[in-house]
Order: sequence, then structure tokens, then C-alpha cells
Amino acid sequence: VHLKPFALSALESATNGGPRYHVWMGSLTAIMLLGGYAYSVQLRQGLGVTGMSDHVSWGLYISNFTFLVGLAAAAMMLVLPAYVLHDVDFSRAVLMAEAVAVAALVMCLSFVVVDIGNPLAGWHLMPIIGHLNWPRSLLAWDVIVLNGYLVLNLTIPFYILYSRYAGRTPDKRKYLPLMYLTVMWAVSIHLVTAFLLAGLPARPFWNTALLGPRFLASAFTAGPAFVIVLLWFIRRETRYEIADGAFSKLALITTVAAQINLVMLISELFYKFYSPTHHGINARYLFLGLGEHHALVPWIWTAIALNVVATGVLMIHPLRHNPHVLMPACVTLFVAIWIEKGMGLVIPGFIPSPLGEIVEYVPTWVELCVTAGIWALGLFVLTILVRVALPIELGDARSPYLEHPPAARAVRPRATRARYEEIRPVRRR
Amino acid sequence: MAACPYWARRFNWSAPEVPVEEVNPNQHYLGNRARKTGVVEKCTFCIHRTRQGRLPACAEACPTGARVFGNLLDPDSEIRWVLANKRIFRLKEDLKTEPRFWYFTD
Repeated sequence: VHLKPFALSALESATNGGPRYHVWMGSLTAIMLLGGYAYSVQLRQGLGVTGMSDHVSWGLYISNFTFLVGLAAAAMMLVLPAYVLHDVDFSRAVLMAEAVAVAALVMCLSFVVVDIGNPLAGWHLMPIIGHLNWPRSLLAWDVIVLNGYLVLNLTIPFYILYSRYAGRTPDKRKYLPLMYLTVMWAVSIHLVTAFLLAGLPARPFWNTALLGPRFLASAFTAGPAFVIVLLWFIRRETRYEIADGAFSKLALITTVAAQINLVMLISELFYKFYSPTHHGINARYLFLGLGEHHALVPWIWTAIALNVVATGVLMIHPLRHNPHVLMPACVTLFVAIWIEKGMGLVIPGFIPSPLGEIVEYVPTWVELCVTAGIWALGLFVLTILVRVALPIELGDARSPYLEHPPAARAVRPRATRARYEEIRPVRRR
Repeated sequence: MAACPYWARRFNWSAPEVPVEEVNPNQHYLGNRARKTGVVEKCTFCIHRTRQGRLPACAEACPTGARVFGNLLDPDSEIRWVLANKRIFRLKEDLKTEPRFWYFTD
């Protein structure tokens, strides 16, 4: 068993690096500490220190949550071409995509926890000591799919990396079925989260059949865009080689998804504005503003402008194949989707309220600091996962037991062990 | 909170505080006690009124008589008559929480 050296070498790869690495991790830690302080203020004084109110009861936290669920789901969808289509030059991207999924899920779960008024009541959800209202409650479904997805995304890379570390080839029969399950699971986490919003008939802004598909389309834009930037950075900074083909395929996925997302945006705008009904008033608030209330208008038009420009640039083949254009375009798309699937989706659902009152929402410093802290936590987790995976993938980190088996342990037969070996000898390497 | 269309649910965003001059001293011991931070406030059916034999404020104010409030233990009460003779249902009865809140249709 190579678990102990595996853990030690993982710790070593995660804690050693050049000065730039330490500055990066140090800055992330500082931001996390700031977020931790802001969260302690919120814990002591209640959610009143946020900008949320009885009217707008979901704010920046849930906005980031809906966006990051998409990032987690889309990162894993890259597995599809790599393993189903047997695309070899793509498979190196997959481990990194899984690291992105894990980091995004850690952020998702953190954002849900900080949005709970009474987090200590969380044990009510646990079966046996509490009661998980499954299958009737949609929130129970979300708890299950998100945590299940996290377990899947931790198990598969651990198995692959651990096998390589121990000098074995990962057995496809063991991890491929799990891979297929994860891909389908990825669709489910994003659809279930969309259904949480779409299932509220009192909120016409979300109560549309297009919400689920549009979540998927925007996730497929932001997810691969993030992975492209990450892979480009890894290729520039390390010896880990990622073929150009992987980039062009990822860029193609991003472009097609961005186009579909824009088509859906247009059909949504047509539906709300061509023959406007009272149910379109939230969309009116978002895109045009209602009287003097127009806090979100500049946000959403920024997002649409960024979306259109980046998608247009990516549609031109020579530009898409040029990394100096591809990287800024991907960052632009990522930011655009973050606005659109975050604040641009969650907040207008509440404004105006079903009774017609208009209460606007602006996040407070506590929310901003906690949000920054959770993003820093996610990047921290992502950095560590990539740092641990890379040396193993490059072949630099291998179990010392492969050359020097731990002899001391093997020749110490205990009474029970000896009797067991008489029946079935233990095979040793 | 997010699903309710009537703005009927109120969440304790901070430690609930009522200014001294707004406190209604005409209260029942169990009625209108502010709950803690981070939970949703709920209705007490105006316990300070009902313990004096009066109706809850919402039932008294209702112009159409759509709300019926009464003593379930009293077999001659109006509420028992409604439960016995009208078409009634309760929300999420299968959770076995035995809500004392019925909906009826005529």
C-alpha cells in the first residue's frame, strides 16, 4: 500500500514552489482570511449585514452559486470527447477539468453555507438523525446531486493518480463506468439547479422552460473557456505538454455553446418584449429599468456586449487559432457569463415582487469580502490539485516503495496473519 | 422565502428589535415573542386575542368569511362543522406533521 508516501509526496508538491507560487498562495490566503473575518461578522449579527431583504432574499451568494454549478458541470463535460470518442490528445485535459470541477463544487457548497441563516441547523438534513425530505423536496435533490458529484470527481482522479504513482496503469474497466456516470451526473447538477428556480410559479422571470437548457448552454461556454485559460497557463509554465488539437477542440466547443446561448438570449428577449405581458415586468426591470430603478441595466448590457464581441471574435477561424486572441476572448466570455448567470439571473427574479413593490439590491462590503474569500478558496483548492497532479502525470513523483519495498513490515508475521497465509498465501510484489 | 408570492414570510435578518413605543403591552406571554436571528417568523394565530375568546385579527378583518377559526376540541364549534361537512384538505399531509390548518372548498 502506497498511501503514506502518496500523501507525503502530495503534501510536498503542494507546499514547494518558486517565489511566485508562494506569493500567489499567500495572497489567496490573505483574501480568505479577510472573507473569514467578514463571515464572522455575518455570523454574529445575522444576515442583516448583507444587502438582502425580505423582498430580495437571494443575492450575491446564490448568484455565484448558480454560476459555479455551471462551471462544475461544464468542466466535466469535456470528458465526453476524451473517453467516448477515444480522443487521445484530449485526455490530458481531463484531469485538469476534474480539478476545476472539484474547486467549483467547493465554492458552490461554501456559497450555500454562507447563505444559510442558521448553518448549525444543517444536521436536520442528514438522514436518521434528521430528515432529508427526498424525493419530494427539490432542495434535497440538489443536496444529493451536488455532493454525489463531488464524491465522483474526487474518486476518479484519485484512482488514476494513485495508480500511476504506484507504478500501475489505471484499469479502464474500473474507472470508465464511473466516468460515464459522472458525465450524466454533470447534466443533472445543472438541470436540478435550474429547476429550483424554474419551479417557482410566483416568479415569472424564471418560470420558463428555456431556463434549464439556457443554463446548460451558458455553462458550456464558461466552463471550457476557463479550462482553456488554465491549460494554456499550465503549458506555458510547466513541461506538461498539451497538444494544440486540445485547444482548438475546446475553443470550438466554447464557440458553439456561446452561439447557442446567444440564440436563446434572442428568443427570450423576443418572448418578453414582442408581445409584452405583465409577466415580463422583471425582464423590463433587468434590461430597461423601471422608472428610477435601474441598478442592473448597466450590468446586463455590459454582459451582452462582452458576450456578443467575444462570440463574434471566436467565430472567425484565424482569430480563434491565435492564442493571443483566444485567451482574452475566453476571459471575456467567462466574465460575461458570470454576470448573466449570476446577478443578471437571480436578482431580477425578485424585482418587482409579485405584489408589485420594488426594492432594489446592492451587495454590502460583508457580502463582497465573503464572496472574494470563497473565490480565493476555490482558486487555492484548484492550485493545490493541479500541483499534486502534475508531477505524477509527468512521471516525476513515483512511490519510493517501487524501488525499496518496505521490508520491515513484510517479515513480521502475527499469529492471525500466519494462520491466514496457510490457507491462501498473500501475493507480494 | 423565495417561493412565497404574498410576502407573507418574514425572515429575521438581524436580532429582532421593536422600538419601545411600538411594543404592544396587550400581549399573551407566548404571542409575538420575537424569535432568534436567522430563522423565519411564523404566525401565532393571535394567541393574545384567541385566549380571550376573540378571533384572530385576520379572521375578524376578512370581509367574505373565508376564514374559519375555532376550538377543535369543541364538537359543537363552527370549525368542527366545516371539517365534517365541507370538502377539505391539508398541505403535505403525508409528512405526518399533523398541521392544524385545513383548506376547504364550497
